[in-house]
Amino acid sequence: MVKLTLKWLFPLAMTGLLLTPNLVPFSLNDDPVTITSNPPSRSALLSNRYTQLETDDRVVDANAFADLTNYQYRGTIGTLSFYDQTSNASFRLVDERSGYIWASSINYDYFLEENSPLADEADVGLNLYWQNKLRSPFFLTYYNGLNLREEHAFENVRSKLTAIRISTATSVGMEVSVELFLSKIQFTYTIMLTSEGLAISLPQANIIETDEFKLSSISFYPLFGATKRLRTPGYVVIPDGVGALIRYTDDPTMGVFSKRFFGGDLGLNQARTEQPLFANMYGLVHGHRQHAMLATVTDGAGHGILTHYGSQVFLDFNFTYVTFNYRNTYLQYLNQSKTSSVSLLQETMNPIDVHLTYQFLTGDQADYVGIARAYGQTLFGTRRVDDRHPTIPLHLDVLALESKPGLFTREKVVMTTLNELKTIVADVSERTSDHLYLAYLGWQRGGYSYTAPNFTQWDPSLGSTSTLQQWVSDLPEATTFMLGVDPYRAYRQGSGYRQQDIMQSIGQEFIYQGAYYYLQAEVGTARFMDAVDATASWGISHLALETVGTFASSHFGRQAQSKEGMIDTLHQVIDEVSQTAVYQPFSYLWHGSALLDMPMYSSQQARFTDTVPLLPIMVNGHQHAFGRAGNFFSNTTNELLRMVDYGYYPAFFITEASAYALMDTPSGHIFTSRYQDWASDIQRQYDFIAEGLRAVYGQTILAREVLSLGVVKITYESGTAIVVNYSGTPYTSESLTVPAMAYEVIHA
Amino acid sequence: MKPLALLTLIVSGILLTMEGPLPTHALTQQSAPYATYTMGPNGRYVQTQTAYEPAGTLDLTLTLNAPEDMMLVNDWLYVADTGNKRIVRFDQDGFGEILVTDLNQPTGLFVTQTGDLYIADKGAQRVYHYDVTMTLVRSYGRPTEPFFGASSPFVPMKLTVGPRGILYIVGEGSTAGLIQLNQAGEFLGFFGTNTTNFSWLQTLSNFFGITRAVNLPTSPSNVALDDKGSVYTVSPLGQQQVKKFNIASLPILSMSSWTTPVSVHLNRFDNVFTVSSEGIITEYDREGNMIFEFGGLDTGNRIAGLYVNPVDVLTNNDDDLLVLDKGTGTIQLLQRAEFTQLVHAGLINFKDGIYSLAQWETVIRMNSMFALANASLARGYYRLQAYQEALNYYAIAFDRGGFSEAFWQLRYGWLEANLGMVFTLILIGLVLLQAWAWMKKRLLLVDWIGRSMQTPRFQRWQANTQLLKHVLSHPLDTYQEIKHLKKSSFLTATVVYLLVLFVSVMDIYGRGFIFQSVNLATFHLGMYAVTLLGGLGLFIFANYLVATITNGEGWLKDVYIATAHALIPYVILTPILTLTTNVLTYNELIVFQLLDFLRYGWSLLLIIFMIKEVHNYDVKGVVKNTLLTLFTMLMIILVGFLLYVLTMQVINYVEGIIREVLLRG
Repeated sequence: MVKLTLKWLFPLAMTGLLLTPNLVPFSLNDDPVTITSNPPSRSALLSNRYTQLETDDRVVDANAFADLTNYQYRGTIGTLSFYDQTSNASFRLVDERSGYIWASSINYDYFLEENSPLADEADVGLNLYWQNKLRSPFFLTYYNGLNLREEHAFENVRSKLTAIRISTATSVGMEVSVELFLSKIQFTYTIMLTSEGLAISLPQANIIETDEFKLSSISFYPLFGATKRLRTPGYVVIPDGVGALIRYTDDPTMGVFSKRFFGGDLGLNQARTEQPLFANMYGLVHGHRQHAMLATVTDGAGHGILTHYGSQVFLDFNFTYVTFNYRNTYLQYLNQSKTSSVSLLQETMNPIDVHLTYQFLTGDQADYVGIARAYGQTLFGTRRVDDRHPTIPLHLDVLALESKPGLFTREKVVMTTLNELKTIVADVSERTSDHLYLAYLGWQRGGYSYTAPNFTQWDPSLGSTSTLQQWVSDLPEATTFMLGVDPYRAYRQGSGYRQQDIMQSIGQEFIYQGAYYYLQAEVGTARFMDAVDATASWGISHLALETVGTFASSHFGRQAQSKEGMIDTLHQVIDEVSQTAVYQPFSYLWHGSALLDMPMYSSQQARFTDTVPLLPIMVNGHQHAFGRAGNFFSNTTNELLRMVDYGYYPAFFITEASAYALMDTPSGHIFTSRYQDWASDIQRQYDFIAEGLRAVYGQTILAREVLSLGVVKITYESGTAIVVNYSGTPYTSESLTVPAMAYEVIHA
Repeated sequence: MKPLALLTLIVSGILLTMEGPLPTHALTQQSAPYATYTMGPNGRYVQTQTAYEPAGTLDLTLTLNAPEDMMLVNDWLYVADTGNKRIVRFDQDGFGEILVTDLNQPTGLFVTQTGDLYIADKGAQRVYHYDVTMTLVRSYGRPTEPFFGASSPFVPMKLTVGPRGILYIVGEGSTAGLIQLNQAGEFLGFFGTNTTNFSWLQTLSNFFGITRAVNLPTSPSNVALDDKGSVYTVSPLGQQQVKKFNIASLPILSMSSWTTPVSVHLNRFDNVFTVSSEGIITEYDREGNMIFEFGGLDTGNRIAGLYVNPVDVLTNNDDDLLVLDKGTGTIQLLQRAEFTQLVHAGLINFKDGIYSLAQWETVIRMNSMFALANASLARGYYRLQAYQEALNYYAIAFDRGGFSEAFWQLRYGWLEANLGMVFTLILIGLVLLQAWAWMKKRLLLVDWIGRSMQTPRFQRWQANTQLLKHVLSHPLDTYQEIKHLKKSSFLTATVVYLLVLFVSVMDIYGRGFIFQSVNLATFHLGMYAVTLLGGLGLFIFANYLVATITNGEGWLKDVYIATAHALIPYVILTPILTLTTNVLTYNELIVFQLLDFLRYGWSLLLIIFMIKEVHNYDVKGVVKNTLLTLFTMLMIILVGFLLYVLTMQVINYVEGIIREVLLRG
C-alpha cells in the first residue's frame, strides 16, 4: 500500500487540487434599502455646512470710507461713473443706479482725527508705514537673492508713479507707470472702465526687472471694496468647492484666507489637499441685496492667489484681493533619497498677462446669487441646455473591467460586460428615463486601472466592438453613451508614453500621484485625440474625461508649459472635442457636453460662515450638472435635498458584479456598486430629485433665500420655486407647509 | 493580537495617514474632510460611508482655555477648563455655569449620577470631591499607606469613580497602574498595570546577570468605566493601547491601533470610542472589533471635522460625538450618519441576542466589504443551520474559525448522505488496482509496453527516479550512490528543485481557506521564486564553501544533487497536505500539523544525513558544518546587503555632485 501511495498520491493530489472548487460570494436577495432619515442637528444647521439666515438688514446707503473729494470726474460708461486721482493712481466708481461709491482705496482720515464717529472701540489702527502702504495702488514682493522683500509705491520717495489719463468714446481710465526705487522693477498697467465693467491689465511684456532683484508677486488695489469692522453688513463670495461665504466678522482668531485658483501647482510643489477654487472669481457684497461686486480673473488665474483678511486679523478692514504670483523659491534635491538639497529661486517668471475685470450689481441682484448668475452669463453667454429631452437626466458610471495581481500577469476582474450593461440600461431606462448620461469606464484593454494613457483598444472580454456599435446605434436619442478616458495620466509601470512625456516639477522631479504620472498637456491631448479617433471608429462620439477636470500644473524641463498654458490647452481641447463630459471640472472646462461629479461641499474652513451653491447657480440652465454618486451617500435624504436645492441631477456608480470582487484591485475603495442592490434605490432617488426639478428643467436660478433655519427657497427664472426643508421639523408659513426633510414645489 | 494582524494594522495605518484625495473620481467627494474606514475582510482597512459628519462646534457662552476633560451627565456637559483653572458646565443650549474656580491645573473630572463632582488637579497633586451644591466634601492627597511605595508619585491626571465609590486615578508616572482609593482616601492598591516586555538585549543581560536599567511598565494615560463597572484604560503603548480589565485587574479585552489614543469612552451599548493625538477617532464594538476609523489633524485652516489637539471624545443622547479640542478650546459635534445608525441598530440587536439578517443584509448592500456585517450574517445563517450561506459569509469576512465550523457541518451532512457511495468507490478502486496487478502479470500487452521502453534514455531516467524513491527508505545508501557511483544527474536535481517550487506555489494557491497562510492579493510569484530558489542556492553554495575548509569530501555538484534528493519528502508530502487542507477543519488540526511537521522534519533529517554522507563527517563534523553553513549564509546576506547599501550611497553621492555642479555652475 505504501508503494501505491507514493506512486499515485502525487497525481491524485494534483488532480484534486485543480478540481477544488473556488468559493463564490453568496448572492443576496433584492429587498429595497430602507433606512430611517437622520435630520441634521441644530448645531449642524447653524454651521458652515448650510446657508445661514440673513439677519443683518441694515441699509447701506453710502460708503463712509470713500468720498469724491480730490477726485476728478472722468466720464460715465453705462451705469458707472469713473473718478480718479492721478497722484496715487486711485479711483472711485459711482454706481449711478444707487449712488454707491466703490473705492480703490480706503479713506483712513478718521484715524487721524480725534473722536471721529468712524472710529470704533478697540480699533487696531494704522502706523505710518501702513498709512503709506494703503495709499499705494498695489502691493509688490520681490526677491533679493533668496530673501523675499516687500515694496509699495510710496515705500521710497525716489520711486515714481505716473498716471496718464486715457479716454475714448467707449472707455475711460488710466495708464499707470511705476518705477520702483528699491527693487528697480518697472511696470505699466492700465485700468479702464468699459461697458463690460472695470478692467485692470498688466501684460507681462510691460514688466522690466534687473538681474539683481526679481519680481515675486503683484496685487492690485488690495483695498478695493474694503469695509471697516462690522460697519457694513455683507460677505465675501468664494468659489471654494461648491461655494462658500465669509461674512464680515471681527474675529482676530480667524486668520487669513488664502488659496490658489484652480488648485495648487504640483509643478511648483504646492500642496493640493482641500477643495480647490473651482472658478476664477470672487465677489463682495455690501448690504444684502444692496451693492455687490464680481471680480473675475480673466487672465492669469492659474497663478493667482485669492486672499481675504477679516477685520482685526491685521487691520481694521475686511479686504479681499488677488495676488499674481510670478516667482517662488523652491527646494532642489540633490539626490534620490532627498537627504541633501539647495534652495533656489525660480529662474523665469510664470507667464502671466494679468487681466482682472470687475462687474457691479445693485438691488435684488446684489447677493451671491446675482454674483454667480453674472459670472455664469459672462461664461456661457447665450448657451442654454438642450431642451429636446426635457426629462431629468441621470448619470451612470458603469465600471466594465478591473485588474488584480495574478500568478504571472495581472488578472482581469470583469465587473460589467456589454451584455450586462445592455440589461442594466434597459432596466434603468424603464425605472427612470432614457435621458441617460452613461459613462462606461475601464473598457480599454487591461481594464480601468494601470492602463492609462492607452485608450485605443477595446478589451474583448467585454464583448465585441461590433456589438457595441450596433447597440449604441440602437440606443434612444436621449441616451448619451460615453466611454471613460483618462489620457492625461500614465501608469508608472505602463507603456504608451516616453519618459520625456511626463510632467516635471521645477525641481526636476516627475510629477505623480499614486501609481500614475501626469503627462504633459500636449502629450495627453495627443493620447486623447487617439482615443477620440479609435472610439469614433466604433461609432462612439462621446467621451467622459477623468482626472484632468481638477488638475492643472506647470511643467518644467523640455517644452516647459506654465499652469496657465495647460489651462489654455485643456480649454481648447474641449472647444475642439465638445462632446466630452468632464468629471469635477474647473470653470475653464464647463463648455463640454455635461458636468459630472460636481462638488457638493466646500472645504469647511472655520472662517467660512456659509456653504452656498455658487457653482450650481453659475451653470444651471446653461449646462447639465450632476452630483456625486448616490450609492456612497451617508445621509441619503439630506444629500438628495442638497441636490434638489442645488439643481444637480442624480448620479450612480454601478457594476454588475459585487464590489467585493474589487477588493484586491486598485478600485478597492469602491465599497458598494452592484446594480442588483441599487436598482430600486436608483429609482427612488431619481424620483425624489426629478419630482422637484422637473418643473424647472433648463432654467436658471433667479433667487435663493433662507426662510428659516434649514429652510431654503430657490426661485427659478419662470417664477417656479422650490422650498427645501433640511431640518427635522416641518416648516409652516402662511400658504405653505413643508414636512421635515422634504421639499415643496411652488408653481408660478 | 497576532503579530501579522498587528503589522497589517500598522501598515494600513500608515496608508491611512498618507491618504490624500484620490485621483479616481468615484469617491473623491466625501461629505466630510476625511475618509472613513472600517475593517474589511482579513483585517484589511476598507473605505466606507462617512460614519460621523462634522456638525459645527458647540456655541458656548463661556470661553474655554486649553480644556482637558469633559463628561456628560444628566444633559449637563461638565468641562475641566484647565487653562482657566476652573470647572464649568453647560446646558443643552450652551449656557455656561462656573462650578469651581481657583484650582491649580484641573486636568480630569468625574461626575456621578447624583451630581457629585470629583476633580483631578494635576498642579495641586490632589483629588477633590465636591457635592451637588459644590461644597468641598473631601480632598485626597498622596496615600500614606506603606504599600503605596515610598517613591511612587501621586500626580492625578484623570479619574473615574466606580461602584461603591472607589476612585480609579490615573497618575502621571504611576507606572504600577491606576491608583485605587476608597471614599475615605485609603489606598486599596494599584489596578490595571501594563505589562513589560524584555528586549533581547535585556534578556541577554539577565542571562549573564548584568544589571541594566529597570524595565518599568508604561503608566495609563486615561480611564473610563462601563455600566457594569469594568475599567477601560488607555496607554501610550505600541500595541494593545486600550484594555478592558475585570475586577481582578486582569485584561479581558484589548484593542490595538496604529494611532496613539489619548481618551476612551463607552457609549450606551458599550461601543468603545477613542480619540488619538493624531486626531483619529476609532469606534470599536463591545467585542473589540474596529468598526469605524476617521478624522485627522488640522493643518491651519481649522476645517470642521479636524482637530488641533484633541483630548477627549464622548457620545451624547443622540449617539452623536463630541470632541474636545484643547488646541482651539472648542467642542466639535460630529453627527451620526444613517449608515452608522443602521450598524448600531444591528449591534444593539446582537447585544440583546437578536439576529436580524435583513438588517445586516442592508448594511452589506451599502458596503459589501464590511467585515462585521459579513461575520454577523454568517453567524445568523449558522444559527439558522443554513451552513452554505454561513460558509460564504465567513469566507468574505475571513473568519477562519467560523468557516471551519460551518464547513464541519457541511462535511458532516455530505458524509452522512454519501457514505455508501464513498465506500463503494473505495471498493471499486481496490478491485481495479488488483485487476491492474493481475493484468501486469498476465497480459502480454504490458510486457510489450515494458519492452518498448527499454531504451538507454528511459533506463537512465528510470534509474534516476529509482534513486529518488530510494532516498526515502535508504537515505545513507542513496547518498553513497550519488557521491561514488554518480548515479543521479544534474538535470534530475534541477527538476526536483523546480518541483519544490511548483508544489510550494501550488500549496499557496491550493490550500483550503481554513489553512491559508499567505495573502494571495499581495503574493508576488517572482519574488517568492527568487527567495526560495535563492535560499536553496545559498545553502548549497555555503555548505560547499564550509566543506572545503572543514575537510568535507563532497563536490559542489554532489551537494547540489544530494540536497535535491533530501527535498523529496517535501515534494511528495506538500501536495498531500494541500489536498488534505481542503477537507479538514480546525477539529482535525492535528492531521495538518503532523503532515506539516513531517514534510519539513523528514527533509531536514535527510539534509543532515546528506551533510554527513556526502562530506563523510562524523556527528561532530555534521554539527560543526551545519552551524558554520548557517553562519556563512548569514554573512553572505549581510555582505551582499552592505555592498548594496554602499553602492547606492556612491551612486547618490556622485549624482548629488553632478546635480549641484549643473545647478550652481
